[in-house]
Amino acid sequence: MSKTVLIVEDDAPNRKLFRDVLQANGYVTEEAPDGKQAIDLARRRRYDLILMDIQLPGASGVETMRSLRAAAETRAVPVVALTGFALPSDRARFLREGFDNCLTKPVDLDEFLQVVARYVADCRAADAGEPQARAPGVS
Amino acid sequence: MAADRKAQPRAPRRGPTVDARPRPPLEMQYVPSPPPPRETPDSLSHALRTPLHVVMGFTQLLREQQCGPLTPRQLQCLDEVLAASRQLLGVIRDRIEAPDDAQQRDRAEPRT
Repeated sequence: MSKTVLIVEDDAPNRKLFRDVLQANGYVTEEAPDGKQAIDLARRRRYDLILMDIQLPGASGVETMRSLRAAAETRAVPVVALTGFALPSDRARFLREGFDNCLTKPVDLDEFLQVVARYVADCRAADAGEPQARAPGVS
Repeated sequence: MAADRKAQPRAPRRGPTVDARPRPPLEMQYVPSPPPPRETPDSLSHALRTPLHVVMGFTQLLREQQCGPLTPRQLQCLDEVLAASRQLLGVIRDRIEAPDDAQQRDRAEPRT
């Protein structure tokens, strides 16, 4: 069964890039241009992974991730931040906030696919009742 | 009124009108958006990294021939784009982010 990734990104070319890369590697993708639509979609179906931009119109990526973590039906879905905020203090802040990992744009595509594959695998293992070893931010 | 309009003969159809006047070169058509008030290093770095991510990402995608096979000459051109993009990323890191990071650390840990 194909793994489904939700891309939350307001910038259309960025969304297209992630879509093209993920689909070329066998993932099914869905997209939301803002946090509100992301939450609506995530409540309707279970994603294997959510990729979250930080600077979004309306609720930020951090606020959207908090809302996902607060709801029982979306709490367990891994959320990886994808951001153009690149200072080491930014990354530390996003991990502290509760993101499972944080990738800085421009993202190396090989590293990006490795991270996606790892969190999707973690998600499947959790579904199968296997013990999870999810260390935040370790890639 | 509507009947009057109906009764009027239609003008003969022509193809799309073509503006034959000479166009200004592309670089003269580009109108940069005004910068937001009080651009901080953090927001400037973010504003540069976001489109650079798209440039590098699609270049990598093409380079890996995920969009179809390429000739050696085309691959060489993409290598040039990637090299220049990495150079630009280095400028963003060294000239915008590193001084900002140092400044933030200084503020967090004032020297005695």
